Amino acid sequence: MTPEPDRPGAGDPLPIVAPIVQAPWSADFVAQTLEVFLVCRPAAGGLVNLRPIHAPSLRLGMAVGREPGELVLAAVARYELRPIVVHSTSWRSEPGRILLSYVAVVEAPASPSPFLVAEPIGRVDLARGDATAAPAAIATTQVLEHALRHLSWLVRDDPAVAAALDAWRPDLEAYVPEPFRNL
Amino acid sequence: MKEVTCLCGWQCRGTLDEVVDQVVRHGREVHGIESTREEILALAVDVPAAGARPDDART
Repeated sequence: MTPEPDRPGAGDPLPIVAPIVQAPWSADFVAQTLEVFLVCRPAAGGLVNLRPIHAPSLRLGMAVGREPGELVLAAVARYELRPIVVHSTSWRSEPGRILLSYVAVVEAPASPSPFLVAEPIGRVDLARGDATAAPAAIATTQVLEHALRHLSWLVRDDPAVAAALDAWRPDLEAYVPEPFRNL
Repeated sequence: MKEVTCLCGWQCRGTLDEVVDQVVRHGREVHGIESTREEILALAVDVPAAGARPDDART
């Protein structure tokens, strides 16, 4: 194919001269918030979400330049919990911010922090969007469901997680996603 | 803009003075504790001003 001389870029399969987004890069523009799900497995059985008593999930402002994994570990320590696995599991957008969700698997505390409530984790359907669009609404329970499915995959695929969560295998078995259910 | 997260999950955002005022009131009314300005400053995180929006994102 011969490019047409009067049309710049004509003939290029993928011109890249046009900006993809109009917003300038700026530290003020990158709004970041961490969401941390503290999950444990008590001796009595079942998985438990250690939720902050006054919020659906723990959210932490993340200043630009901070390492998210370190902030998650610091939060775990503030509740005097012992981490077993810390893993980023999903992200989503909310007005004015990007929310990065972590699951922090912790040892079941002998006496939980008074700032946390231990809630048994039930199963919920995942939030589903279109092929090219995010779901219209995502509940925190759905983010946690996704996180546990993620752990279910990691315990099979990641040697470090497999070793750390060996005792969790029976509980995570149930979180294997149904393949291609919505496709 | 500053943001503070309480151990109970409660959050507030605002200018430094606004955040200090809200945290002092939250600690006193909800948890029965007194917080100093210095303690609150140590916990406050710089966050983007309201209205800053990501251009695109998906889950």
